[in-house]
Amino acid sequence: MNHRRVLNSVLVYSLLPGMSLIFLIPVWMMLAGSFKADDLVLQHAGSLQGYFPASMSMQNYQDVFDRVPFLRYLLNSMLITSTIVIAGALVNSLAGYALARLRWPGRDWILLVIIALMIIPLEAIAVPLFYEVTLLGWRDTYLVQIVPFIANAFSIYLFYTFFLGLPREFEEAARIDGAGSWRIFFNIVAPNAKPVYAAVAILTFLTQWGSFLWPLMVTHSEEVRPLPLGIAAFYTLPPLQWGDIFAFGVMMVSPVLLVFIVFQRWFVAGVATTGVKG
Amino acid sequence: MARVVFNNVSKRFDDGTLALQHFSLSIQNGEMVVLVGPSGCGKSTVLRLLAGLEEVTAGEISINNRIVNHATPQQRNVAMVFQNYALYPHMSIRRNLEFPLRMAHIPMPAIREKVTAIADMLNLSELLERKPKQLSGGQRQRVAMGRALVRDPSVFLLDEPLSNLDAKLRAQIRADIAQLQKRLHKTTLYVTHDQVEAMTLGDRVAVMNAGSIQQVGTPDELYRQPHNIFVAKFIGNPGMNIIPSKVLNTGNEGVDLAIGTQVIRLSALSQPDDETIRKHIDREVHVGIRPEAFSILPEQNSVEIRIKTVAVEFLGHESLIYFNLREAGDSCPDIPLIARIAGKLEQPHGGDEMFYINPDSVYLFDRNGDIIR
Repeated sequence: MNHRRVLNSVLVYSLLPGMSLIFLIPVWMMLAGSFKADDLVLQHAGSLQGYFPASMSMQNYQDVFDRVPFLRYLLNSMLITSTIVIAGALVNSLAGYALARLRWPGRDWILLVIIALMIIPLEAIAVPLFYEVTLLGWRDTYLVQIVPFIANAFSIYLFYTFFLGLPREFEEAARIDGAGSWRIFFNIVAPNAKPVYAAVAILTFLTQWGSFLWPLMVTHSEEVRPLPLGIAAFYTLPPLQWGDIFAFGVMMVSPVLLVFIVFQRWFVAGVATTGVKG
Repeated sequence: MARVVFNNVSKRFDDGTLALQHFSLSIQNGEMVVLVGPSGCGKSTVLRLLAGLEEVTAGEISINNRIVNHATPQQRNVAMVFQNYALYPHMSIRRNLEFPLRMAHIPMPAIREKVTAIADMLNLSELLERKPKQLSGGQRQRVAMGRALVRDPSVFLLDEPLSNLDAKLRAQIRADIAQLQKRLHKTTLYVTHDQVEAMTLGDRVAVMNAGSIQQVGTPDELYRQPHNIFVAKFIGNPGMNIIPSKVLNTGNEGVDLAIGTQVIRLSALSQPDDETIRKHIDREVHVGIRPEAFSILPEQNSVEIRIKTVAVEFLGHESLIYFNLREAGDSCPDIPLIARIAGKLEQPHGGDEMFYINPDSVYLFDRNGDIIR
């Protein structure tokens, strides 16, 4: 029995480095490629050389700033994503709380609709949504990239399940102590939901940072376009230079990695408490 | 300082459950009333209704002659200690104690003063900067008491405050609560399922079952004059033995009761309420005998009864004897009975024995379980 367990562990732990490599190699290749002269990137692609930066040239990074308004894209992405994350945390947690705790007519139906909404992908509603924002005259603005994504069924559901599991006594004690509903939410409930806020923030950040289809549909000027459209611009901007694309990719992915590393512990705790797999 | 009155209060929950019906109770200023009953009897509902966490369906609740049916918890000026203490986990003990005062918009210097005073009183001064999860169960319990007392509420509510503590700590904190209540003289409603807590803490005790009060009285009254079988069995540890029986005859010599194949005569019973008992001749009744009413030696006027010992538990200062009245070919149902005898009792050979009952401690209940005498 013990013998088998040891064997099992050996097997699992010898597989883990391999698995990690599979996920890490493309990222590493991107990093290595971003420092290479452009013609070398494709030349090395098929060989082991592809995994080592032949030179440490910053030329590709320079090119990115010269050829496209990278900083503009970056600022746009940061503005859009952080607004969605912050407003979303507020709106969705309040909605989840209302569904979990308050009594109001139609609550059960709305909960059902929200759960149903989780399985509808953006692609399915993109066209009607496009008509709607056109009617509102929102095309080619920040607004059109932010507003439709603040309320999120999945985030609401995460908050909802967490609040259901929170002991009611905290809120009842606060009520007897004289706190009103808003104060109870912000002073008692929300501070105890930090892990869920972290999990929702990271999930929202990841989705929105990489969002491509919707911005492509509703924007056309560079002033409001986010990073994913910026990287796409290289494919249509001759000459096609892989080194530049890699450099752009490195700069686009770094903030995501940073956010994840900073919030990692909370994120794991949040996923564990809500019982959701990311 | 407050007087609390429940007047004919009923509570029906949204799902249709009737948690409380025609509940009336008044709690005098400075009095400690304990609500006791099995789980699901509605005792916690009473507390939540008084706290303002639930709304009454019918009837009135008043505090100091002011009807508070629709008042918010804050307007009622009640404080509550929860079973799991409900200390805010993200706040230090100091912040926990400050919270009700901050909500009442009391100026900061006064808040600090009150928190210091209450922390001194409850021995919490050393713990003020810690978080609730760094405290032991007993310490958390004291913080919960402190948070309830700090803003000087007019009514103090406790919902099974000792049930999460181990037996030793429970006895100690029970004594602390009794002492605190005597000192502060606060109108208190205390809910528990433990009759020992009820008997030791309550100025008066209200025994509840299935959403209504069975009897309200001092611990002594409940023990000596139970109104029905439920109260008789619930109060006392172990509770009263109840044996189905039949009144055969009543007259100048006493009341003859048939218990299985045995007939016992209770002479002392007959005089005062002869008429009441006469109505029950040939009817089913229940005889109630407290475990402490049995003895192994005859005393003056005592009545003897044959028993069969099943088991003996020796507890040090006393023995619990499990027995029944079954004999060979006996039609008497096999009801497990308990006697409580001082000192140590060796298990007798063969298990057949004689017990003596003090007739003054024999109760009679009618078929519905209400007291006859």
